[in-house]
Amino acid sequence: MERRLYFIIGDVVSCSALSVVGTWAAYLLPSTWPMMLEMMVGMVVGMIATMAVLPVFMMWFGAMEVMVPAMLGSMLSSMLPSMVPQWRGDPGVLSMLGAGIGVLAWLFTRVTDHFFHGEEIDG
Amino acid sequence: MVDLKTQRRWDGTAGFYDLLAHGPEQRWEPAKRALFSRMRRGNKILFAALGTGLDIAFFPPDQEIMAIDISPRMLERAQPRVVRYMGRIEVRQMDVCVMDFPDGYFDQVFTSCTFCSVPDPIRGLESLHRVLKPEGELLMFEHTGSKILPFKWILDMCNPICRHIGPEMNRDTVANVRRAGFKVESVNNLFLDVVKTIRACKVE
Repeated sequence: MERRLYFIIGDVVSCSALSVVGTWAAYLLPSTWPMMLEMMVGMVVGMIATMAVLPVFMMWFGAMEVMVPAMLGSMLSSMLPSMVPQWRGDPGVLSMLGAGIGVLAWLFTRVTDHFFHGEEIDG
Repeated sequence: MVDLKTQRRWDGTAGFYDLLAHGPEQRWEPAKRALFSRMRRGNKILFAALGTGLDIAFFPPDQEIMAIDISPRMLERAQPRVVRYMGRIEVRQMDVCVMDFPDGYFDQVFTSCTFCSVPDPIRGLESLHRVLKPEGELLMFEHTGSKILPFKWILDMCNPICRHIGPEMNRDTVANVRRAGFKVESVNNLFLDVVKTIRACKVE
């Protein structure tokens, strides 16, 4: 499991920033759509926007280690604008929630990694 | 016959590959050094898919290595690293699926992020199986799909876009190694069950 501070900080920054990108991409969709449709389209648009920005962070901090938690964070955070319409009016709150979801996605990935890390000898 | 579509794709990537791979190479350095430390002097060693030669920095010194890659542009970029290596690396432009080495020629084969990009991975692995000596070792550093939810969903969703610009995200490379006739001896998960080293051997 990664213990180098540079990469840990890089992962947290990448996940939170990329989740904010996902939230903002979904925020740009019309708020007049039915919630379920907006959620699904928002998720797809958010993930595509995140993938477009992803290489900027990957070139500094790693490949799959950045991509997997960041895409998870983005998938969840891009559903936010449709799930809680009252937050649409406050971009600051929306950004902070997006970043928070990114950090949680990174934490979830790190805890899961703890359980799967290591060598399996084939029988 | 060389897969020209794959060759063109990697020729097109050669110019900016090092820039994109900077972070991953820094991150994976300890694991790659540990894997390549299994190179044994006196062994005939094949390194499949040298790319721009970023991995050369992690090779132990004094080895004699045959390195191949499908892309001539990648190999051009690798040349300064090949020259600086404190050992001997012979470079050939070759498709891993159609290598012209004799059967049972190598003692060890190494790969590094290779089988996410070979269009027909089982054919490529069968080709490596052919050129390995009986009891020869296959040592791989690869990223694969995941069996863990929700990471499996993430990689499956990203794959349709990623496969057009570079690697496949959801391959089961460990199963492919077995399908190609190898005995998998160990799998070391480095990040989730996604980034891993695989050690396999040719049994007859």
